[in-house]
Amino acid sequence: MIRKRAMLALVCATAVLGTGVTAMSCSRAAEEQKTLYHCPMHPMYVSDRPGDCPICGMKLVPVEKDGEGATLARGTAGTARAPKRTGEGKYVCPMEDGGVSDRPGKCPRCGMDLVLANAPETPPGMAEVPVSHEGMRILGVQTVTANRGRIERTVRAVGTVAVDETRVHRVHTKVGGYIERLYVNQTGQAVRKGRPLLDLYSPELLASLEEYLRALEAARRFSDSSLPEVRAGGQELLSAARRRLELYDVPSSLLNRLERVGHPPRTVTLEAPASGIVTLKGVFEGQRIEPATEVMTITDLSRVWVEADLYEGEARGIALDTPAVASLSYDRSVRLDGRVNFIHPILNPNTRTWKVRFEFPNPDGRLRPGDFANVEIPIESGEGVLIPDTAVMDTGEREVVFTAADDHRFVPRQVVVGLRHDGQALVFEGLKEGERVAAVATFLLDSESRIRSAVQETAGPAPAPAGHEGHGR
Amino acid sequence: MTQKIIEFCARNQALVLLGVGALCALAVVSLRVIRLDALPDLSDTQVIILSRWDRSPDIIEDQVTYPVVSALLGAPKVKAIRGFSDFGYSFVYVVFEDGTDLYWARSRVLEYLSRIQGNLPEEVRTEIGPDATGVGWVFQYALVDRSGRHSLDEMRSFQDWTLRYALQAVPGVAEVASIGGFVKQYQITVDPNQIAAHGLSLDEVIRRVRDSNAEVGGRLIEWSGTEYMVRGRGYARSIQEFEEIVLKTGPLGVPVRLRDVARVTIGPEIRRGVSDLNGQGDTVGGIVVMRHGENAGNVIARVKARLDDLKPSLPDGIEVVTTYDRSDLIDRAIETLRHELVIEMIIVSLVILIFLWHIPSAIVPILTIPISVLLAFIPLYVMGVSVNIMSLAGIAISIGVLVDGAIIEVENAYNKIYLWQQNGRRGDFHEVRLDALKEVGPSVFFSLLVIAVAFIPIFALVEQEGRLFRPLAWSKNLAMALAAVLALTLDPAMRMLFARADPFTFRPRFLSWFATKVAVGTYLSEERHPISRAIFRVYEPACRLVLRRPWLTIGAAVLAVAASIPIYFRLGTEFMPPLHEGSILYMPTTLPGISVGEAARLLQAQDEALASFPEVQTVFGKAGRADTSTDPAPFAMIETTIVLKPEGGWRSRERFYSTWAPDWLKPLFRPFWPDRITFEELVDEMDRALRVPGVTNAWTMPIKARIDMLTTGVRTPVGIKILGSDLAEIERIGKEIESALRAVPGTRSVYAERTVRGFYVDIAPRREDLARHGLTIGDLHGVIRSAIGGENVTTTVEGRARYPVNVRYPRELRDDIARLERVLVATPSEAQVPLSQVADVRVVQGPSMIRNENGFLAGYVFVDVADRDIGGYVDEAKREVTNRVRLPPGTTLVWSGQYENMRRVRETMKVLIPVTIALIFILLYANSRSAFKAVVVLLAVPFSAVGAIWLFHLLGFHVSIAAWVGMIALMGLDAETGVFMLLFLDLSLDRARQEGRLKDLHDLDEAIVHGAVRRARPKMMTVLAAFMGLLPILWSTGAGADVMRRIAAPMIGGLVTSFIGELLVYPAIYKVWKRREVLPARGGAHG
Repeated sequence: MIRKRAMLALVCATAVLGTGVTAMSCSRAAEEQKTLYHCPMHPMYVSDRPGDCPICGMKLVPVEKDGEGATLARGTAGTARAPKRTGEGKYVCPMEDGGVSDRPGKCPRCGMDLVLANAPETPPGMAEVPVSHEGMRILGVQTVTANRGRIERTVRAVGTVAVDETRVHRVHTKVGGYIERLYVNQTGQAVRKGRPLLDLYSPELLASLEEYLRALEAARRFSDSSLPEVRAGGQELLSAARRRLELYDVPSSLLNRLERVGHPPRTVTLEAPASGIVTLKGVFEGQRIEPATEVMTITDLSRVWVEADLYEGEARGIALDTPAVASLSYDRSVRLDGRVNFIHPILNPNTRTWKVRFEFPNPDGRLRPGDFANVEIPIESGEGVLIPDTAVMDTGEREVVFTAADDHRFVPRQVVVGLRHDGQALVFEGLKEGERVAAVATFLLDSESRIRSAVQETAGPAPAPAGHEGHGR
Repeated sequence: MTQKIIEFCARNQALVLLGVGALCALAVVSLRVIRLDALPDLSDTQVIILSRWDRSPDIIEDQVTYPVVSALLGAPKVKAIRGFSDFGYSFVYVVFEDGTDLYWARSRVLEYLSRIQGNLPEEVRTEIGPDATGVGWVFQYALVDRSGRHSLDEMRSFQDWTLRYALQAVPGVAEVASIGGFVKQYQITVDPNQIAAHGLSLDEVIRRVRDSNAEVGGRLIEWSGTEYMVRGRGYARSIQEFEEIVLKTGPLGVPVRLRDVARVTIGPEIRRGVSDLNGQGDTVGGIVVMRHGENAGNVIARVKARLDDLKPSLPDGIEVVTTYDRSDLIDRAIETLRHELVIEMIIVSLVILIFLWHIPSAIVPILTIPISVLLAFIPLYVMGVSVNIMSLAGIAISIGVLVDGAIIEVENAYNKIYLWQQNGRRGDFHEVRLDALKEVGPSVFFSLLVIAVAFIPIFALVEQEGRLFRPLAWSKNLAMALAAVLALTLDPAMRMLFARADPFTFRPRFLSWFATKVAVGTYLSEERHPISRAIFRVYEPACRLVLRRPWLTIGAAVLAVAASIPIYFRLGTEFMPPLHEGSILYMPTTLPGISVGEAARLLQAQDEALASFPEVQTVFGKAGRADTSTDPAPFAMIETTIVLKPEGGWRSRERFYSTWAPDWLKPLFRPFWPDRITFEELVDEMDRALRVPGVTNAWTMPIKARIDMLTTGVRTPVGIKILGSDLAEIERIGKEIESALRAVPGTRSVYAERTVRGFYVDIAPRREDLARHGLTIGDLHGVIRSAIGGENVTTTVEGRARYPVNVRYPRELRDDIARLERVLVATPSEAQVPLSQVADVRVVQGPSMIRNENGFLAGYVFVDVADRDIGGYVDEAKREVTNRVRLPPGTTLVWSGQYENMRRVRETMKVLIPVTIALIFILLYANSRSAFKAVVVLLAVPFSAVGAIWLFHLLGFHVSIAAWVGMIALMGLDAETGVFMLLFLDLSLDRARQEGRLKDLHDLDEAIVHGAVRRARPKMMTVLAAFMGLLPILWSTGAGADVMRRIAAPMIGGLVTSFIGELLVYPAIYKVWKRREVLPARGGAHG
């Protein structure tokens, strides 16, 4: 009897002990529920209890806790704010301030792709990122304040240096004759305006000179006549003869000398009509020439043209007088400022390019016709908020920046980036002037943001993830 | 039979001793040549086919991985073919059945591969990986330039073309992989505007460059009896030579040379791996990969010797710094184990000495231990089992048990001689001893047989667990078997050596006293023996108490067992007990898609932070891939090897004993209250210091991580492989399965693998626009390949070194999408159109890695199952999935996972365990001739489980096969002691019956007490020898100690409870059982 009672007591005691243990384990389990675990190598795998990662077998580690409470609350709020579905937003041109459309497409003015404006603030699948002191140091996070500003985009094109057609002079004689002497005897020789080019022996011209002398003599003789008609006739004769010579391009200096000397020279010296380079020399000394003969071409290179092919989209932002810079690929020291002076009205159908002509001063003659010159045309864009382009993470779905909520928290924000140039990006939507964004380590912030979001999805109530996902897509 | 052997050996002592001596010498020799490693080689027979091609994962999958995998389908003895396509790399793992010869497997792979090699794209370089795995990364080094005069590409060239080959030639080295620095490359940066202006195309430039770098031979010319070898020179060797390459000649004979349209520079080849030493920035490193099945210790020693030889020929100021050296661990682990072995031997010897209090008897088991351990190395060497932590642990746990046979023999002899002396020395002293030895010989052999039989299930383990624990099982069983053999041969021979029965009487007295003590000894009865007396004093009242309440005792025992069951289920499980390797492998992981620059920056910052810890000796970080097929890590996986200083140099911490305890006492406290910062604390601190957003930290150890990475299949109990042809579809099905399985009872977690994002710039041609310009897709692709990507068009030959020559557009033309759109495509009409006019350029997301399984694209769903029978779970899960998930045609589900393995193991165990138990039972039955007794003996097993489970729980250990190995080892011991217990009870009862002292329950009690208590010494001795022998393991802290502690813990815990069970519960059971025999006797019939 006693034995039985004692046994009963023992059984009871053990039972109590057993329940105690179980209860203890239960309460412990409840505590553990709050901690989430994930695989250090596959952070997207989240479990509510410790164990091994199913993928790689590594031990699961607790999800980092710093600032978790705040993150949870905010993150959920962020994801709950459903992003607008495509089609509801407005599409704007990233370059111009205007150009709003309901549908995606190209900007009618500049041909750039329209981008979605009014983008949602917190992108789906991302969450706020707290960063510890150590984390900041290792990441080397630097924040940069967004400033309003403009950005220049540069259209680069290769052009061929060409002669300024308005500065080409061709030398012809107006009378036939023989070249007695050629002062400018080489192609490529530089000449200055008014310097002698050649001595021409022209019987025809000589006859005209004789005629002029005779007219001069007659005019002198008639000048004493009392008859005004006679006087006037002599003068008329003289001026007619002089005009004819002048039309033959006889320099007036020669005529003056002729008047002094009184007998015509055998040859007449022709002067350069303009400064420049002899780009074509059609004659040789002693050659008989006719007025049709091309004697030489003098080209003035102090100003040149560069003709470049610009592709359809690029040429649109360019107008007459748009400034441009020319440079040479082989000589980095050359940088010349010029402007657009002509845009060809017809597109080249083969290359789908526009010919655009630029005018550049060429003081030292460093741009030589035939050279390939690189032309850069800076085109100013619309105004917007400027940030370093390393701050923008282009995920393929959207562009995201991380704004600094305070020193140790970064909030992802979807933005619309218009242009990127020279390490800068112009943001049209999603960011205000004066906000601070993380300028480096964007990739890691983005990763963390996704991991946190995944963790929150798992942590949230069971139906929530499906709901979120539905919103997101 | 056994008796004959004993007799023969006892009579031919010299022969036996000589033979054992010779064998010991042989053992020493084999110990010298036996393979040394930290852990057994766990790798499957696996052949890796690595293909390199700088293309995105999807292109690699379609054009390389898929053809390779499909070509290998149907190869003989292939278990699985798994392919991974990553950027620039295709890995195909061909896993062969267990036990397939690696070299046979490799030639099969080559054979099957040769069929398709012609069909792969031309630029793809396919190779079959070395006969090694990542576990073979035994030695790593970095090149450090102290002079600051060498550029990274010079150092890399030195590593690639000098150091690497020198080390690769070392026997046992499979491969030396280079990492980090820059591979020198001639970069021809073509200005697209210039080539457009000259009317050239990029293809032509590439062709010209290729043609301008070659050398030919013109066979021979004979002149005046001499032969001259003709050669046409023409390797381009310098920037100038490249610049002079003529591309075209204009109409006026003006040549257009390469320098007119391009800039030739020396720059870095595209980098897929960067490395860093101590946070000092880019560095060049090397990884020595050991051949499969080699002796790690020796290979490392040879590599180090070669490095020493090379020292004078290193370029000025360059130094080779060791960043990882596994031999440290091997040496330390083996040192720890050797140390433990010695301590164990001493302790066990002391236990025996104290219990017997008789040197001539004690010396036999004491000598048996080292000899059987030593001899075990001979068969281990012959079988190719390496000396590693596992095999040494096997020996360590068996030490206490090894001597059982010897103990029982000498104890019996001791007892018999004592009786012989008491009875007035009748008969020959030698014969008495021999009889005593022969008497217990069979049962000694039998008990060791039980232990060996109990180990059968371990040998049935397959795959990794089999490879990990088989060495342990082998070494333990071999040591035991040898001890058993020695118990029959050496022990009798040795025992007979001490032939003298009378004390010495020569002078001086103290010397004769000493000689007597050593060579003869005095024989005491159990009652007079000091140890026995102490045992009696404690045990007798306890024994009487349980006999008073036998049912209560049995009930309490059952309850104790029952109470342990929930505890058992709360224990965690692990595949392999942790091995503290002394080095840390820090593996931060980011999401895929991180760029080289960002990874390098992160790596340096992390390493700098790590190097600032005072415990750290070197930090060698690696992001991305080393140049070897054994390294599948993408940039998103950084692997940083942290070599720590010896623990003595770690920051110390105040502990309660730090101030007063003398130095010799401190080691006693240290394992429980460490007075230095512990490994865990250090890792914790590091983890806190390295919390970086976007980076998840994993802290593991080099060997462990490499072993973890070996397995490429599913690790959860259940895995569902979705095989199909469309990744998006596979992901969708995965998610559906995920939600379907959540509802199935027993699902602990389910996770469908998401294709992780990678970033792509897609250039999608618009065919109508291409047509308008007369372009083909190929023309466009040519531009994408060479202009944007840059193509290695040829290789220079400069002495031993070879450098690639790359042609591409200037970087600033590839900076952003707008610029990419302007890349020019040459049309047949000689016009050049920008890319945007014929194709759409956009950033999209795509897979960062693609998995291929037996030729199909594959997605895995990982399912962890708890509290349920897996077979039933899988059946229900299958039903659920069939009902709820719609499968498009061509998509199949394959159910696999560890449950296949588990099921197979379970199937095997279903047969093996009953057979094992039956065998043990039969052995027990054969020995005791009573089924009831055999059952009672087996009852010790649950009792031992109680102690094992609770000790595990208290120490916070996880259950692994190591623990089971310990339990099984314990089982044999239990059986043995159980048999003795019952034997002595029977003997005592028999004697009481003979003497007529068995009339009532009181007499029964007395008889039981007599049997249990009076013969406690031999039982105590065997158990204590085992117990005390294991204790130092629990205290050990050195390398490899953790593995041993986990094997030893269940034995220690189990020994205690099973022994208590045996001492206290067996008498109770015995009483309940025998009561019926006694009660009717009291009824009158007997008399």
